[in-house]
Amino acid sequence: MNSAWTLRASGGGRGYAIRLWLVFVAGLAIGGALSATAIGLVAALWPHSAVSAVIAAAIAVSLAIYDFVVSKVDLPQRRSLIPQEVFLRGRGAGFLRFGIEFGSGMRTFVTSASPYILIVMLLGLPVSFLQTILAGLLFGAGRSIGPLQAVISDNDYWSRDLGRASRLLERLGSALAASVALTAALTTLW
Amino acid sequence: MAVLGSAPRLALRRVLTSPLLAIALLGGLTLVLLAQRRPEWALVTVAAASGVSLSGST
Repeated sequence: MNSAWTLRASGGGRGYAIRLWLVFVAGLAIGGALSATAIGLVAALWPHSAVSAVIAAAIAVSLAIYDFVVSKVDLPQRRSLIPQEVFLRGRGAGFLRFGIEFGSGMRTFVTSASPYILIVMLLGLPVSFLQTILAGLLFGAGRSIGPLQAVISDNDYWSRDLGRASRLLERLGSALAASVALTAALTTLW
Repeated sequence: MAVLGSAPRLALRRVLTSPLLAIALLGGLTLVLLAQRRPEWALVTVAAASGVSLSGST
């Protein structure tokens, strides 16, 4: 199930769709924060040093290069769609659950290497637990931008423009994430 | 918006709802934080950019 189209087809006009989107963002942020908490707990198991930062940067750059070389990202993931049954208890509760499962990565398709780079950075760089949680919250919020734009655009241009730009978007996300990993490693070294 | 005709209004809405604009703004903020040697906070903004980069699979 596609969140953008489900919001647009909610049937109560743009104002209602935006209210549902707010619930969806809350779910996405919760889902992102839950996954980030798990990553933060794993990251706390070993000391962070210049060595772990350099290893993280090397993996991050490799993943970004992989994203630019392949036509379609094929990294380990669940490849699962959110079922329509999440809306059995109403649209509000449905979008909250949709957001949590989508934001946590439990049920989604990951078409960019950038989330993997993000995980590697959170595991290898000297990042505080608070920053890890914030990263998870904002990752979830970032996932909500596309559906919000779909609701606001209210025409077919959004999906056409997105269709043309989606691979570029995915690669830009990876390039940005890898540049942060590289800079963080260099900052740790010097 | 009311003073704009329908074609410019549509063009403006198309720019404002462009996924590329969203990632460009977040990417710009990330690069500013990197230039200020604050990679730990750039990581937080790049997390949002990472979420936007998945707009194709919403």
